[in-house]
Amino acid sequence: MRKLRFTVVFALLICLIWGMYQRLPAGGGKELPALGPFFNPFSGFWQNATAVAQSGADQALALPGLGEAVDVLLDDMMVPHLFADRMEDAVRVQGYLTARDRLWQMDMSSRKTAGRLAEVLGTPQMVELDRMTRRQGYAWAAARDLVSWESNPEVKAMLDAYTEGVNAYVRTLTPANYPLEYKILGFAPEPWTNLKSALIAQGMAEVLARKEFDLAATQTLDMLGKPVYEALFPDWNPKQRPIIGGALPDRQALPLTRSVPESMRTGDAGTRLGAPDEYSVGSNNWALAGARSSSGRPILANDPHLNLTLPSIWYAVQIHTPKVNVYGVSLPGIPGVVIGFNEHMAWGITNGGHDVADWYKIRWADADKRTYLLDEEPTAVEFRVEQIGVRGGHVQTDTVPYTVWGPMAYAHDQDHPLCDYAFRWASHDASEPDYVLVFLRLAMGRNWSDFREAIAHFDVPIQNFVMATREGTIGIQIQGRWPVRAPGTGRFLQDGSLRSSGWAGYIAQDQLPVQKNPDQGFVFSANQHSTAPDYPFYYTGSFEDWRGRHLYDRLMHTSGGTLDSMASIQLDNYSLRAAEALQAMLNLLDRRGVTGHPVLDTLRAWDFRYEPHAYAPVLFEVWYDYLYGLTWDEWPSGPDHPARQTPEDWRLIDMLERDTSHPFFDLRATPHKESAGDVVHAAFDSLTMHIEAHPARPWGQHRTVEIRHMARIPGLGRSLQHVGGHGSALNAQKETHGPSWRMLVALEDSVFARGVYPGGQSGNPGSLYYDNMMDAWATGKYYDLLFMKSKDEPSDRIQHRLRVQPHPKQIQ
Amino acid sequence: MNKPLRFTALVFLSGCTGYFGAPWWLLAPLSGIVALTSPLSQRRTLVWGFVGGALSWLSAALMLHIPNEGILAHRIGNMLGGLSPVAVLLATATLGGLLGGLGAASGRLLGDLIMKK
Repeated sequence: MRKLRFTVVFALLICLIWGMYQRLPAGGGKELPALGPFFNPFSGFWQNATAVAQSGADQALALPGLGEAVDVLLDDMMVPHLFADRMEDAVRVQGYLTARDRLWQMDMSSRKTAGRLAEVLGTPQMVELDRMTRRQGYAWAAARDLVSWESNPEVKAMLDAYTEGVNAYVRTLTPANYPLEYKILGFAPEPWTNLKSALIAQGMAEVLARKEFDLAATQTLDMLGKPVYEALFPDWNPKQRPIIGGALPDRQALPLTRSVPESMRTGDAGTRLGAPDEYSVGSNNWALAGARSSSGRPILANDPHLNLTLPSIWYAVQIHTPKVNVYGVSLPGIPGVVIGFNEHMAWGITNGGHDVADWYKIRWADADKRTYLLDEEPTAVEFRVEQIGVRGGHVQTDTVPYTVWGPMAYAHDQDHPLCDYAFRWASHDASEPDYVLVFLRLAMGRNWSDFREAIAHFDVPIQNFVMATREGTIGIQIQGRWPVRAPGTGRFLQDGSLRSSGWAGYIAQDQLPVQKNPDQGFVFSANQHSTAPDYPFYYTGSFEDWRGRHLYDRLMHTSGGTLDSMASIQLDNYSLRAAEALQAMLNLLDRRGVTGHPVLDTLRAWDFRYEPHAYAPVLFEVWYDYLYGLTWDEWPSGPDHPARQTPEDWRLIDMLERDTSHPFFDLRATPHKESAGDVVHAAFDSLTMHIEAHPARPWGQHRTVEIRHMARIPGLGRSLQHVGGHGSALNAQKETHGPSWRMLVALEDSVFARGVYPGGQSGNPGSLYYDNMMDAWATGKYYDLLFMKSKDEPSDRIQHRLRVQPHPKQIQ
Repeated sequence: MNKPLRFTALVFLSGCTGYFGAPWWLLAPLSGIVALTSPLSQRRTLVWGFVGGALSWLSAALMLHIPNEGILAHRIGNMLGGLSPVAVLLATATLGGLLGGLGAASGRLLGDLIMKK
């Protein structure tokens, strides 16, 4: 009996310990962390609970490779202010501190672009994601970038210093003090490398410069025929206000067509189309000349809109050396400051939106698809073998064919329409050797020529760099690799059997669009077209239609501008898209005598601002969504139909305003001949029925803001229900994308600035500083940025000091 | 010091070896040794072993939880399907308690077997 009791209890204990070592399935391919190591308060998640009250005591640290001591002052937002004698030392400490606060984020970002997520996450979805990442050649390109970067000894020294700084932190880690996500996901940090920095840059290029619709555009062109396609998808929106002006196309000359292809009037109707994707990764920036500011000195503003995540995308830092004093936000994994200011100059960036990715049809010379024809010359395919590691030690091999154009991402899928196409992308070409120095040189810049010199080495993604100096210069340059294309190419799939289909290099640096001190007293960009059509080079891409116009209007009406008035522009929830569309829709409804409905009263009273408490934006969006679907009811859609382009909003609104009998307004489902007014009315009836079934909620609750954890770990993100804005408003807040950093800089005798981002400096969910700026950001508040002139400057905002010294072994 | 109190304190200290880097499961065999060397009745061994183990993990967690003002426990609770911070603390205590209780009970019963022989 005793033996039995012992055996039972002991077996229970062994089962308990075994069970506490197991990662339990949590559904959806996810796993819960092993309970034993995770809950153990001496080394599990509890160890990541950092004290809210900072000790304030000075700390010391020895860092290998450091030349001279570096003083780090941490302010009340946990922004580090680095005071170093040499830039290389500053960058080394930047690497250390960024890793201390954001190591897991850096690790995952580089793994994503490298196609190495399955190694640590292991799910079949991750294996597939890694496979597609590798087939598009991102890691291949990053390795080429690194070879180019390291060919410059100055760049290599900076990268080495940053990497060694990161690794000095990685070496301090034991399982007990791993960042929390390593404990949740059950893997260990690995050393940083210079290649990982190149992967981070390549990842950013993917986010900003990978967008193309070549397949969808080609299939849409096939469906519509050229005249209708050109009428519905013109290259230029005549109402748009390009970044750098010039004559715009005549609106009256927009091609109109009176026909709908017969094929679209018959056959299966698809599911109802939703409104097209709004511009997702956009941004605003502008510089106001002293003539328009109250101080008589320039003001610079920038708010890049990105997929908002926790840990936050940006990491704020100040770097002070005898040659540099710069404050701004950095990208974890890359040395320097990406958007910021120094004592003389400020700069900001927005995305260009140019299409720099094309697909080329390969003409095979053999049945095995090992040789292809290029100007009738048989050319051998190169095969690159990818080893995809999977958690648990298993490795999957994938062979990717490479042509002169680039990798063939869908070669393995015989049913994919891009199976025989090769992918050409500007970011596949090795990066400029001085790419990494762009931001370090901007940090040192004092004037227009320093600015232009610094950014000349920035290649991908194409960015609109705006600048302002304390001396009063303002300017903008659209910088990056613009393919030189034959007019009209780049929108559609191309012939890869001819070298002449390719780009004729990139537009020369001295021919890129640039503007300095324009008479209008400001420079600005909001992802709209870079230039007017009179720019001598053809280009194509995704360009924003509303924010740029409204930003221009706001700036034209600005005099005596201050940081407060510039903030009101960044936070402006007014939408020109809503204003133009709703006015056209109401006019059409009025003509049909529809009045007296409470929904109409709400809409008529609307000021076109997407305020979080307003109901009208919800009513308008639902109405517009029905209208869009009914107008383009000829469009086949749904999963059974090939990818198609859908007309942009501005095109539909233009038709509502001045082409109301366009045949596309005719509804397929009825024998009658409908016009725009009929469709607007039908959509309104759908809206009223929709509202009866689903009572409208305020905009902030209808379109919540979801700032998810990078790995979508539940509980570690934030859901906000009181944030205004819309993709077409200057406060371009969408559900998951929005202003990732709001910065305002007054270039006065003593430069001062405000900023805020949705999150916090720490990547640790157990820290107060994980999301301490979130509520201020959500309610449109800013923080004064502490821009120090010297380490001895008294400031009650400094929480504690860290003295980083050369490692003693190195001194001996 | 009365016997259960001393026993509980020793199991508690066994749990605290984690502070010096000992693996989390060591609480169980160390509790077993405590039970071998300071025998209580079987039921009391299980109960006080549980209490000692639970207290060691709970107190270590509380020392981090309180200065953290519950920020992390709140997030971990949400991650685990909406548990409150108190529930996260109780889960921690329960796991420590199970290791201490079952470890001590195994030691006590092993002691009985050895004594019998």
